[in-house]
Amino acid sequence: MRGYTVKMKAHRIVLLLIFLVVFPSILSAQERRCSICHGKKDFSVKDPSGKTRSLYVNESVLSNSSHGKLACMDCHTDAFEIPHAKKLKKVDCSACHDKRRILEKGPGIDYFQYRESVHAKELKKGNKKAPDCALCHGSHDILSKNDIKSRGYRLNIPDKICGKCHEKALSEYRKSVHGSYTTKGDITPPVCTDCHTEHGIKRTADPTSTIYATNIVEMCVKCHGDYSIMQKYGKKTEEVQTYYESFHGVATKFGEKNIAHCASCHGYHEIRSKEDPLSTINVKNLPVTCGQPKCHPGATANFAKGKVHVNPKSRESGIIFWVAFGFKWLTITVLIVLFAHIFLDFLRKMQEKRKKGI
Amino acid sequence: MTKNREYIERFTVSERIIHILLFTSLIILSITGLTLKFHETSLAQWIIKLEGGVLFRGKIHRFFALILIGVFFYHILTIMVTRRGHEFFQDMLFKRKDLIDCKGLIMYNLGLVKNMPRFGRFTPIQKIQYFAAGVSVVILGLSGFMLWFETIFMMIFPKWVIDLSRIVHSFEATLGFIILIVWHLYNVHLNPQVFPMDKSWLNGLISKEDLRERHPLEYERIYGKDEGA
Repeated sequence: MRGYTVKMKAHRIVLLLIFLVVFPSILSAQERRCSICHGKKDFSVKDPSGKTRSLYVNESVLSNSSHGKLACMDCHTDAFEIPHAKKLKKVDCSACHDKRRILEKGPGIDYFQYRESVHAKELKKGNKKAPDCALCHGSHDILSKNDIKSRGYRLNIPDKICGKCHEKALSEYRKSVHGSYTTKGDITPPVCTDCHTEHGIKRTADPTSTIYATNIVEMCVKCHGDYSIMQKYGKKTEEVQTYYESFHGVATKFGEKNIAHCASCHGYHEIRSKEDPLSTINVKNLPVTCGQPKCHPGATANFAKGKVHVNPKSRESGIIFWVAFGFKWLTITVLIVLFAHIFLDFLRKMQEKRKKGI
Repeated sequence: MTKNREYIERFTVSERIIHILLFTSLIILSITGLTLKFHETSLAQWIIKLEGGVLFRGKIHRFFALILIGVFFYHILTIMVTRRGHEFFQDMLFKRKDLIDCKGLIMYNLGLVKNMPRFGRFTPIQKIQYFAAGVSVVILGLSGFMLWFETIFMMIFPKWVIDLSRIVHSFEATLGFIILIVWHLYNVHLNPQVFPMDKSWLNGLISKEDLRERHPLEYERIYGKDEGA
């Protein structure tokens, strides 16, 4: 019995040694072997087109990244011998970040969403410009999105990720109210991913997109309907309710997609304050905005005379408030009088009828 | 109750047809309008689905609005052109007696006097309903056209006038709906005198007996004072 336990212990110690000493040393030896070439700053290769492509991997950057604890071969799975094949396979992030982890939340679900996105679909079609994981996240330098130096950090997303390809959208965004705040370092206003989502980005025309005509309102309302957020910027949330009660709002709610939603008037990337003379909702520009060919062609300056998000329940609406107020009480009075009459008339006539019946 | 039932014609065929057109258009306008006003309720959302979506709902609404406007102008025309229409309107106009009758009616309803006031061809309630409907059609028609052709109207009026017309349209329609649906339907259906229904809207007839009971002055005008007393 005792001998057996000793044997067991010895067995365990050997196993432990393998895990603690042998494995790491093999791995680190391998790392060192990779860095023999890839640790050199001038290690590069010439493309068939004649371009020089650097193959240098900065080891200190890699070890400080989110994947710093991984070995080269964890990602470059086909680099198992040296020298390795000339053309290695593309790193397959899904080996770890796949949909099997969808239930746990975290990278799994992101990967799953990415596969449904316009970017993944374009890539599948063979569009070489479409982004894969590395184009946005980087490769050896991936950092947590909470790290201020990370590309994925909120305020870095427009410049360091999306704007790299979507230059026009970026320059418009920078001119917008949203962009002007985020440029100053305010993390509350939306960056690209708040409206377009992070991984599951879809075309505007896709009905499942967050920015589809009938979904976009809900998306703007996430912030513009939130009093605690709007209060910070001296804004009201009244516009949301007034829009919902307007003809535009009702029609959009019932799934009509050719009716004005938030962005139809306020713009998409270049949303400016109405005080800004370049804003689509500036008093001077409203006739043009309302007069779009699909909407109210021939709109005149009269379109700008009066509040747009008018709230009949607010005293600021002036005559509209008072007329609504008057009508409300008139209706209530009429209802009371009518039902009083009906009630009394009914009772009295039933009385008469009974008398006659007897 | 098996008395000698004699009838006189209260409504002509054309008047009955106009009345049917009037109430069908009003009912459909009410349904399509109220569902928009109360679009947040699930019942309204269900009805709007039946109506073929929120935009087609609008098309139905405007189609029946045109029918209602047609009925309105046809009625004005008969008042101006025909003798019967002219007399009808004359009888409809409010007179001093209506005020006294109103008071009498309230007293009767409260049980303070024994007899109902002696009404003429139209009771004050009928007159109120008639003019409420007429005024409503004018207000709703004007504000409705403004909302229908908003761009054209906004060439003349500022935006707040259109906003105002929407408020007026919505509230006036509700008010008219209440007066007609609640009050009128009570008077011609639930009212114990006529329950379950005053059939004159179908056959155009009113019995001599009913006429004497409900419109005694009109009865006397036709048959003279003494008969049947």
